[in-house]
Amino acid sequence: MTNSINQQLHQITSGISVIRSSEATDSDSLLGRVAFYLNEGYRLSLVCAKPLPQTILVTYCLVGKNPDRRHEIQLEVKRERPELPSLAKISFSASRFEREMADLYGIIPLNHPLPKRLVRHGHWPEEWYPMISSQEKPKFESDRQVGYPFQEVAGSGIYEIPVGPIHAGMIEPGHFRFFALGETVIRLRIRLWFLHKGLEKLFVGKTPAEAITLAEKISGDTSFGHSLAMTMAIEDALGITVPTRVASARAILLEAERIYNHIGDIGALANDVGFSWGNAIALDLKEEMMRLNSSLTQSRLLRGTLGVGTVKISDHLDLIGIDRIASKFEELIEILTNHSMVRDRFHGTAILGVAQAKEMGCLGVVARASGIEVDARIDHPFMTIGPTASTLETGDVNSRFLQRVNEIRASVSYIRELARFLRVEEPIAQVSTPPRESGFSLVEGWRGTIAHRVEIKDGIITNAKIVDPSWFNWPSLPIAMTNTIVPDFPLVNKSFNLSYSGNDL
Amino acid sequence: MSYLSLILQITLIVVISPLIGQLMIKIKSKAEGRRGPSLLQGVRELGKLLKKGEINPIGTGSAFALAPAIYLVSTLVLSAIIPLIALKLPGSSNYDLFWVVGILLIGTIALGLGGLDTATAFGGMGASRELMVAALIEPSILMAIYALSIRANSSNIFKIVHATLSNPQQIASPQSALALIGLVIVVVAEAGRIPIDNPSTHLELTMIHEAMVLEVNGPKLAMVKLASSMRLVILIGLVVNLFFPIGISYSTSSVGSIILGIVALVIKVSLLAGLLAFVEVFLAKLRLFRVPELLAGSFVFGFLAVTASYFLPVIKA
Amino acid sequence: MSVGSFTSLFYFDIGAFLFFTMAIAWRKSLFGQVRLLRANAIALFLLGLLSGIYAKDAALIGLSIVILLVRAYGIPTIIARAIPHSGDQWESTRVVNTTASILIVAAITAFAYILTEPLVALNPTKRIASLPVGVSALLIAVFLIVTRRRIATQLIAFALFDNAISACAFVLTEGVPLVVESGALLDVLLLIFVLVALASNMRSQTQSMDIAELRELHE
Repeated sequence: MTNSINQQLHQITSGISVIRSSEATDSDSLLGRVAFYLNEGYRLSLVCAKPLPQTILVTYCLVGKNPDRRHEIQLEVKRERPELPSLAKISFSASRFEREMADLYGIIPLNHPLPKRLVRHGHWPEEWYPMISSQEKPKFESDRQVGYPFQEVAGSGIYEIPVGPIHAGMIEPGHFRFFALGETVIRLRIRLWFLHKGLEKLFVGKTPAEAITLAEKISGDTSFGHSLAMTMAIEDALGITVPTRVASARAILLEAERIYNHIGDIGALANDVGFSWGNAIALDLKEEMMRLNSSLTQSRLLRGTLGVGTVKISDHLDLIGIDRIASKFEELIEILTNHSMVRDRFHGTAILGVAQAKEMGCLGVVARASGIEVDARIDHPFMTIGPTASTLETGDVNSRFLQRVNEIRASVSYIRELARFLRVEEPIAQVSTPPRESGFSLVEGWRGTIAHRVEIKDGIITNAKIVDPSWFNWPSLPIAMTNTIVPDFPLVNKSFNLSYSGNDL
Repeated sequence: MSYLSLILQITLIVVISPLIGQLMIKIKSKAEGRRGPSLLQGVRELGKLLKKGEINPIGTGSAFALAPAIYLVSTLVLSAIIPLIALKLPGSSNYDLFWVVGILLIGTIALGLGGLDTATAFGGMGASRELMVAALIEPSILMAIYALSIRANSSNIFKIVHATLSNPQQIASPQSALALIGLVIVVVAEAGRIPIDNPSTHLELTMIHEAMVLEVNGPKLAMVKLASSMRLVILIGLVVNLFFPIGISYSTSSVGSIILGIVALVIKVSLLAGLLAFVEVFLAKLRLFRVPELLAGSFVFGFLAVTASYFLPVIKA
Repeated sequence: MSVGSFTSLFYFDIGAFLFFTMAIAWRKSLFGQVRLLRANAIALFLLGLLSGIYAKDAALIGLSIVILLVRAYGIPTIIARAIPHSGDQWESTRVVNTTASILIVAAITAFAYILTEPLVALNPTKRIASLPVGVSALLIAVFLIVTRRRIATQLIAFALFDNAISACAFVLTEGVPLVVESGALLDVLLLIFVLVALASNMRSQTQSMDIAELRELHE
């Protein structure tokens, strides 16, 4: 018995290989280089900027799968005239990163098709860039003077419905503007970034331990996902390889977070079609899962467990408790899938086609429900044992619901598989490769792939960039809403369930 | 005595409506394993709203100002013309079921106009949805009335209830059962309950009735809330008395029978309201464009009730 | 059993029969439709049983028990087998949409009433007065066969058609000649078997139960 486990231990630690590469380029050849990698099957996962005394260093992180490849393209722009060529023509995600950089660093993307503000709303002063300018609070202008024009849809019978940024219920701020013809949505515009927290700047100057704690607050429901991404980025920079027990425990906790959030989402979907009984059962299950979390880590939200090279977890994983939750969960799904009214609301509602989802660079549940195989646990693993991957094709509310159901099932059996590694005694983490300036990590949080990139000098974080999957998925929501009826929006929104906080750093 | 019992009936409806509404919430909560708010919560909320000041949205006129009052007054009138605790109320021989339909519509349309008057997207959206439902209810409710009228050879509520009272056996007929199903669907739709509308949602985009009154506030909101819960109680009371008029007082002369009528009404309404709330737990809200399907179903039930009255002749005891 | 209570129960039962027939036109869930078919057949069984008890006709009672076994248990169970247990158990594409369907069903009932009026007038007893119910169930079944695409629904409609014929027979005559009725039963049973076999055969060959798609195979 011990032998076979030891053998597997060996396989787990030795099987992981990541191919890393990097290059520096200039603004003339940037477009060509990025296009080359995109054609090779890479996707743009993160773009970050770092202000240096004379220049701003922009890094494009491209990642590829099978095998796990990570490539960085760096470009320096002058501080007095920060400009770079826009990649909007070849990548939609890049065009959004560029708009973000334009707002936070003042780097102007040349020939950008939509050079409007994204993060900084109209009332932010013109020449004040949050990541560059001094800490002093800027002089905000009144929103009324600036205004925020929406692209108008004209025609007889078309009317606008503005919703938010303040909503009924416990939701973060976001403004939704529907252009509807009767009850059918012609176009939906979403305005986010009402709460710019300056998180990325907060990371600068923190020690790794502080940074890991801070990362838990990026998006409260993804506490573990984000702090794990931060931990792994730091470990990547410091060249630390973690032992199997730690890796397994982390994988288990990542799945635990996935389970409780997906159950909550399923309940919320039931609630949004007025089926409050289904929600009541789901809330009960979610509570049970969170108590299980608490018994594992002393925290219902799995906070305060991670450290560089370590994870604090109780030796005893309550597998019986997980089985109980899983069997109750199956009962709930039986009720929901056999309910003809619920089915009628879910089926065919707000279809996000595979082509559209690919174009937007969607990630996570949303992408997989539309048939895109993207999962960092399989594409960029930190363990050789992975969960069973699954995708669905239709891309409607029902497939996003079923995708969550399937993922919970996969997570439960994955946790069962990993549980035995928790009991193994092992030496602590060791520095296996020479430390580097920067570290990069990809973690499949419950919403999708989280990407973090940090730079560390003398044990202090000097630059950090965080990309929540919601950043990629938000633009796909209006696409799915087109030709869907207005009263279905809350349901559709819930089926995406994107993070406002993870989007607006 | 007869006017006294009329006043008694109106007062009773006003008093029990918030309680019945809360009873439904309580039953739903219990069925879902929650404790639920106290039965008096509805009354407390009305009290809180009455104490508040009022804000009129910019640009609104008399339609917005008067809508809640018209809605409440029409509902009060409704509670006066339907025999709920006693049959022979003053003027009862004048009112038939078409009055009920008309007065219900007056309230709905007044509130719809009030919603449109705010010129907000939600007011207009809610009003258009509410009026769509109201327009779809109309044929179903008329069909059900027609079916019931055949039985009593009159559409007068007093005569229908009287006919049922004097010949309770005829209630056990397929046409009555079909008409009952049709009417219950109509009541659920009119009162804005699941599966047509979700009164407990906070999601403004899905609302029907609540979207229409989103801008109404303070004492006016209290009026709308009170009137809405009264409408539900009155409609439930109407249905139970049309089909199960047990306990209703025939005349208004004896105090004892009036008291019996009150007790019987409260029990019957609570039972049916409780049943509705319990069934709601297992239902989901229909997609807005499936609502016509349900109401078409209700229409067909009414229609079948009418045709059944022809091919299944009334059995005379 | 007195005439009054017999008629009252008879009417109630025939009302239920009509209700379940109509509900089949409404429901989209195939298993829900099968359940309604069962309920419909049980109403038919009660119709026969009531008539049998009232007329003190043992043969009629026996026949209704056969109906219970075959129509309420046998046929629906066989049809349920034709529904794919994994995959699409819903009838989402219809030639006529649901709202229009139920309105047409209402129109059919009225039409049946007008159609049978002269027939009822020939012998205006209380029982024969409910002949329109049987006829409208018949017409609704035809309507369903014409407008539904899923084979399971067509089988259900066919079984419904059969039930409607029996209902008409119960309403029209005091006692049904057992031989005739059993013969009809067997015929239909055979047909159902053939259709089910055909259905599962087609399912295994085309992975689809949609007639529209089969048509493409021919071309």
